[in-house]
Amino acid sequence: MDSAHRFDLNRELSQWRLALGGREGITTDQALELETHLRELIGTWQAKGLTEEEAFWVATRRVGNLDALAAQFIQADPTMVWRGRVFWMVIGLLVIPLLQLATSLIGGGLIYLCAKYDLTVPVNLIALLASLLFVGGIVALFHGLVAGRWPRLSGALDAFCSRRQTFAWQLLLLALIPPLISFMGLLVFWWMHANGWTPDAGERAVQEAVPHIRLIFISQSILWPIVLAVLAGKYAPLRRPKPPSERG
Amino acid sequence: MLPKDLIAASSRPLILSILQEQESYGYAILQRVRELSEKQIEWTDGMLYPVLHRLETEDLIVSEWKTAESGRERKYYRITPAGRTALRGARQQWLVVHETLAKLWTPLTASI
Repeated sequence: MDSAHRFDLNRELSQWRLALGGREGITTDQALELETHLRELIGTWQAKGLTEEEAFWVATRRVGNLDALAAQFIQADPTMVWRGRVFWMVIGLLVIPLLQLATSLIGGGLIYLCAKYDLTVPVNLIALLASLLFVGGIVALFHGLVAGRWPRLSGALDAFCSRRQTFAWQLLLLALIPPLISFMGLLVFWWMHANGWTPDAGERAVQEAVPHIRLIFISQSILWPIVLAVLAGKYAPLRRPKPPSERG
Repeated sequence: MLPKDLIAASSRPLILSILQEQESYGYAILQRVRELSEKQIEWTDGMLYPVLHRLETEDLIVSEWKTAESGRERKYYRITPAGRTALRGARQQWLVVHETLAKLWTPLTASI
């Protein structure tokens, strides 16, 4: 058998779980739980003499069509879907402004330090590294969350978002966060205006001498596209595993 | 085989009763139902989990991930005090249905 087609149970299982977890109405935690169920079934069939690959296909067939399964979850708890959506809206509204604030502080702080102490070369390098780390970290974080890489964390998040009791608080946060952010922005603007703050010649010179500092500010603006791309990856139809008969 | 609606209606008291005995996980609950009913009640593998989820959001059961002796991670479910109360209520209702039917069927069984 060609090594590219060798059957890897763990890979097939994680693909199955991703395909299931990508469906609306099923949380990462539930997908993980159903994966453990599939493992039990596979064990039973292997004990009856099937190979790992055969046992996998029999077990997935037993669990059945994933869309039908997701529909059963939604039928059992129709408001679950919206609780999940609202939860991610709250996370997005909370996390993204915080990250933008953090990048602004780092970028602004670097410019200030450069102007004061006349550093250019190391800061240029640090700025490049910081922006790369930032973008990489965000991608890894969201991708890991969506793929269920940290079962405990995802489980805790899912348990939180699926509780009816916390839903009211989430809605309240959703209503409060945007005006709160606008208000804080206004406060900062007013404070800068009151202190007559404008970038001085030294700071402008630093921005020209250390071009990579701009990367930190640019990395801010690609936050939204990253988040959208990861979510699109979650909800886009994932590659479904093919049964052995359809393989070359 | 039982009809679908009867299977669906009996799934909640069955799950709660099994969890009242001891905490358990999805696969073991399915096995237990199959055993107890002598394969008369066959739940599909995907049917159980939405019901468990529903019971959990109603706070009748709670779940916890644990590592079994075999090293396998499993999500275990445990019944809550609210779950026990709900089970007592369900038990009463099922007994009413059972006793009513039993009264009607006793003379009939003799004639069959």
